Amino acid sequence: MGVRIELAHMLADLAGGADTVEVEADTVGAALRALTARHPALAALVWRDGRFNDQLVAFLNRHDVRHLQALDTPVQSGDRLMLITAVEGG
Amino acid sequence: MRIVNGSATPQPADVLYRRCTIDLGSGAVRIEEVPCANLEDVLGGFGRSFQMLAQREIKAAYVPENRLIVNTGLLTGTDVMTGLRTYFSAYSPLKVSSKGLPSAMWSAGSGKFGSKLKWAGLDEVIFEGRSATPVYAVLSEGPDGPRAELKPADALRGLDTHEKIMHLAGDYPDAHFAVIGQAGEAYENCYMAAVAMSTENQLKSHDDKCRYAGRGGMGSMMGYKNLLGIVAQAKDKLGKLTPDLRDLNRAIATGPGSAKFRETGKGGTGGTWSNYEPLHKVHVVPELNFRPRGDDQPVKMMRPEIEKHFAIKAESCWRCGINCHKNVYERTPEGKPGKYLAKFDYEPVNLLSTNVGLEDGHEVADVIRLVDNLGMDSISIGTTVAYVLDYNQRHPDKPLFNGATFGQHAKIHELIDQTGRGKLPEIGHGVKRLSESLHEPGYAMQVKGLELPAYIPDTNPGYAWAIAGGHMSMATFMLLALQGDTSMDYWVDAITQKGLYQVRDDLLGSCKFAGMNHKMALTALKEVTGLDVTQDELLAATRRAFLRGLVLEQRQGYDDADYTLPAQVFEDPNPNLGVPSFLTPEFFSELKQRVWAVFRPEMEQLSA
Repeated sequence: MGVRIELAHMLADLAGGADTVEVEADTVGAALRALTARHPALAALVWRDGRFNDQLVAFLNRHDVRHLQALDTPVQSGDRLMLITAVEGG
Repeated sequence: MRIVNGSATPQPADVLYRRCTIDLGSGAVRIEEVPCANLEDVLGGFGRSFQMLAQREIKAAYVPENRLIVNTGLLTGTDVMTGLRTYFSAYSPLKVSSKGLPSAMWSAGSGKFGSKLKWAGLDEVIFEGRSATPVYAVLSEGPDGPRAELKPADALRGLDTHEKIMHLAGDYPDAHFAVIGQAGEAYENCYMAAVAMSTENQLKSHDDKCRYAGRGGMGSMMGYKNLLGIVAQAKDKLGKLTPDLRDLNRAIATGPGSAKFRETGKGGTGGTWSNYEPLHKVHVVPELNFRPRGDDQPVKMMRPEIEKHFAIKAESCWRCGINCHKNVYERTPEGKPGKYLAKFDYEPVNLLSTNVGLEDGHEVADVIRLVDNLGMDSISIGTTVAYVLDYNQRHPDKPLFNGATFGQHAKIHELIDQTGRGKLPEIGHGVKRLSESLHEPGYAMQVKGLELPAYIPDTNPGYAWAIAGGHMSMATFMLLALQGDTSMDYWVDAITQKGLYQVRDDLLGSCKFAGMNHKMALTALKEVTGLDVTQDELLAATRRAFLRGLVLEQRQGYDDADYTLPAQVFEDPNPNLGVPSFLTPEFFSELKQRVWAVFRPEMEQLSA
């Protein structure tokens, strides 16, 4: 079992409708790179000028990774990584 | 809703919904089952109400022929989490074409009113005509089906939204309520009144924690009709959760779709209020009438700053696990929540703080609560007041009203209070009319007569095609900051192929904050109604419903000149924004041609 990445709406659309993607990785950053390698249409959104797009937010098992070790946060098999857009209406 | 014929694949005509029509002039009530004409009729919400609005030609909002339609979606009142929405539809007093004709509008809100309406046995209530005296309507379940009657509302006159609800709650157990405040009662001078709906939290805590259908002056329509409140009385009717429905609700409460609205530490970012942080990174938080300065002023209204001085509780509508309501309380010496102050959602917070120059948490809570209790749309009043402040700053020699400028809390409070009590019709009629009367429309933040929400127009050409408010009926408001793409193809696609599907939930009865993808929505429909709808069918119905909105706009006199952005965007681009500047007149002109090239043939088919 790898890391399960869950994608919110437009991210899932860019992943060809896949709302979950399972990847093998040892950090959040590696998991996201594996995600965009499998779904290249996501790459321009997830990576801006080679860095993680700060208009997205990633959660590792309910914790905002910005409050952990950001992209260097270790992950292990069975972890749940959620990727969402940082701005929503309301 | 009832399916007849027992078919495994029912046609729309096999689906009957129950409508109650109340003639406010005579008091006559008719309750009937109505067969559906198409899938959007089946789904409900504005998908149905806009077809009804299209049946009449309405030249002014305040005429007896302009019906107020109160309806629900298929998921309202079901066990699907967030299935709580009620829709109010009519020709709007606020949203008008340049020819002066009212536009069809809907506005939606949660709370528990819609569920109670469903449980009383009604899917829809149509208020015809106008009562000669103030009344409220009581819709209840009886032994032989739903009942409806009108009652004198003299005792409700002059009360604010919360007071009206608590007054009615004393008389009607097992009920929830939709009411207007003083702003709705002053409908002639205030076109931006909201409808307030009660929450369980409110009825139990006695704190003023309504939820609002704010946009387009549907509360003003109730005021015109002399309908001060609606009571929906019925026992709660809970279904049995199937395993699939339980899984669905768990996915709503814990999945990525609602993460934005959940609490930090619970897999969320802390609510819409947290939009401040990402938007500020690229300096697009509206400040001083939608003119960001590129400095760090917005930081003062970010949640971590407010949390230093106040207690914040994440609360919810009935049985919703998202807890999107971020309610601000005084902090007791023990650090616990004390006196309730106000709700801090992104739109009211921004448009009544940073965008009018207020930075003190108590002052901001004060004006948010004032707007709510008077029963006004916080977007429309906040944006219109910001224009007044801007005008006064530009014209210190001939200021308007009390001469208020940015940051003057007492004067801003006074402007809002007077507007909500019908004493400042120039503001109450909205920023389009005000700015045109002053011959300075260029910095009036409105499109098609409706005030802009808290996303600056310099970043969103999609506003021109939103049919019921810029951030709730066209999901393009966040795209420039998110993706930074300024190509023509990107924006044509964003508007014509993606953004419009945001209105799907405005048919279904579910909340956008549930963040259901289409697969989840189809599961919800199947589990609670048995209807097997395909994704293609759902999207086609949503698209038809949206395009009917554009057809209706054009029937009401909207022409090419109405589909634009505030002139300031083109004439005086803001150099402080940290996003690409791309909205030139030439770009927008070509965008219009290409968007209409997609929409027009489909609109003509709908009109045929």
